[in-house]
Amino acid sequence: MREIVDRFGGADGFAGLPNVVRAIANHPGALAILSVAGNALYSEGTLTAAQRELAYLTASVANTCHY
Amino acid sequence: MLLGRAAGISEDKLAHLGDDPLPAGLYSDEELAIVRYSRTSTLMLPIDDELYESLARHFEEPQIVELCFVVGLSNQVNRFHATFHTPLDDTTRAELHDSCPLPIRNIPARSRPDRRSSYVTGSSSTRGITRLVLVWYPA
Repeated sequence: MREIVDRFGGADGFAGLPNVVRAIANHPGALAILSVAGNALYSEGTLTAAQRELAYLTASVANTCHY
Repeated sequence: MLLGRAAGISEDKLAHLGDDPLPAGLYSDEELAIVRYSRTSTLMLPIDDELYESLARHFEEPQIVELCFVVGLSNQVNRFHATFHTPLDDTTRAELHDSCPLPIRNIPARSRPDRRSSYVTGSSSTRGITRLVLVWYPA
């Protein structure tokens, strides 16, 4: 699970984990799914970070959601 | 994870993501295709041939699959947030800074405030998600 903390927590490690990740961690299996999806899309994906975030944030705006 | 500004998206482009119609001249054709697709998909409206072709002009099929899944991931996280009222943490708030295109929402007190308070304090509760900690994470 260290890799999940590293991936979502960044340089701050555990302290930098977003609340939404901490909350999802109440179900380790769900967090594992999120981690696999994040790895495929963010680490192994072929879109640029800007392209990816434009899609992610547009969806969040359409849902009136801050995440 | 990189949020919008850190990923290199300008403040102006972030600020107008919710506009309908989108402002002329602000986004490139490629960006317009992403924004229009992401919005249409999120709202569960039909992805017609014109919209798909606008993506196909700029992206290979595996990249369109990625876009589809990124939109899905965003929607999944949005639904989680809407269900559990996850408060914005300092890390996320700092990343968003003033580029967040949405005003910070105050959760109405009538909407199960116990969920939110338990998040903030990390205290135990018998309702909903009770902890903001990785209870299974080895020390």
